Amino acid sequence: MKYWRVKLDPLFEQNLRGISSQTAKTKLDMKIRDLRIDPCVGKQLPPYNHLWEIRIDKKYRLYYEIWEKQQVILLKAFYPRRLQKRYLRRRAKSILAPLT
Amino acid sequence: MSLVLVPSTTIRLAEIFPHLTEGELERLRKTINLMDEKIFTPVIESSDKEEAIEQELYRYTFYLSQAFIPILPKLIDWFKQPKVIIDFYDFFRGEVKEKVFNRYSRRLIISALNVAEEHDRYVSKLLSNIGEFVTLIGKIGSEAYFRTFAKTSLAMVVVFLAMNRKPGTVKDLSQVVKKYVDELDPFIATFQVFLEPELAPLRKKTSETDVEKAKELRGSLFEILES
Repeated sequence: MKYWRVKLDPLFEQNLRGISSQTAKTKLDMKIRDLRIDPCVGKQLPPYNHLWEIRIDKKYRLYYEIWEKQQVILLKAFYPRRLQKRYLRRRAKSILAPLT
Repeated sequence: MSLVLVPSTTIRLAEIFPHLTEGELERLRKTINLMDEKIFTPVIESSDKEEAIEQELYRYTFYLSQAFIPILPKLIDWFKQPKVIIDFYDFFRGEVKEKVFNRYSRRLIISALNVAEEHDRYVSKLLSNIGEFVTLIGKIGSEAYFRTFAKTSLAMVVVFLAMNRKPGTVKDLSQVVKKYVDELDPFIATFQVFLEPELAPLRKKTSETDVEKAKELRGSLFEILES
């Protein structure tokens, strides 16, 4: 079986360092292993035909590009779903509310 | 996500749409009742829910346009308020927690509601520039998008009705909802890339030189994190 090489975009690395959930990172690591075998397990995102997406842990999305000739997967971003960001903000607000 | 179409005594249309006239509300009520009789109830009663949803899709989109096109400008104004969407989905989450006792089905429906809410929040943002929205949908593939949207919406309306009328069917329906929501998800990801400023660099394909220069991942991701 031929494995694809995986490369990291600086934005992906930056996203990764900003996420504290160990579970999400472990699931991401497992998903990368799957992508090395078959990069097309995710979904292509027209009109951005160069871009692919796969859901991680229901709370995050991994965006990547497939470079077929070079047999490379370029991980572009690891980004929370919009709702996740909102929930975090709301939870922070509700925790602070009784204090104010 | 057209969940307003759930015919219920607990959700009063006048409260959801305070800016509609009595005539407009009455017309909306009539269309919803007709949809209930012709579409929602037969889907709940059918033995193959997914097939029934696919079969009723054309009729559903027809009634949907009948219900909403006359009040579209008012509806868009309403839909642009993020609080409306948040309150709306919070209400439905509460209903699910109260009425669905099977943990697996409850998890599927709540997860579907989260996806639907994310979809609606992006669409409400996109609606502030209709021209841009229409262009984006055209590029995504309008037929595929609207079809996926309509069947997800129909499945969700039906699952909410089934919670009260025929709880035994919720398990089957929640699996259909999950399948459709998974189909809707890539469209939402596209909206995210289109709208989130932090993801702007993703809209353009990386140059070959940058790919060559990029750091290669060898082994586990955790080795990178520790370095």
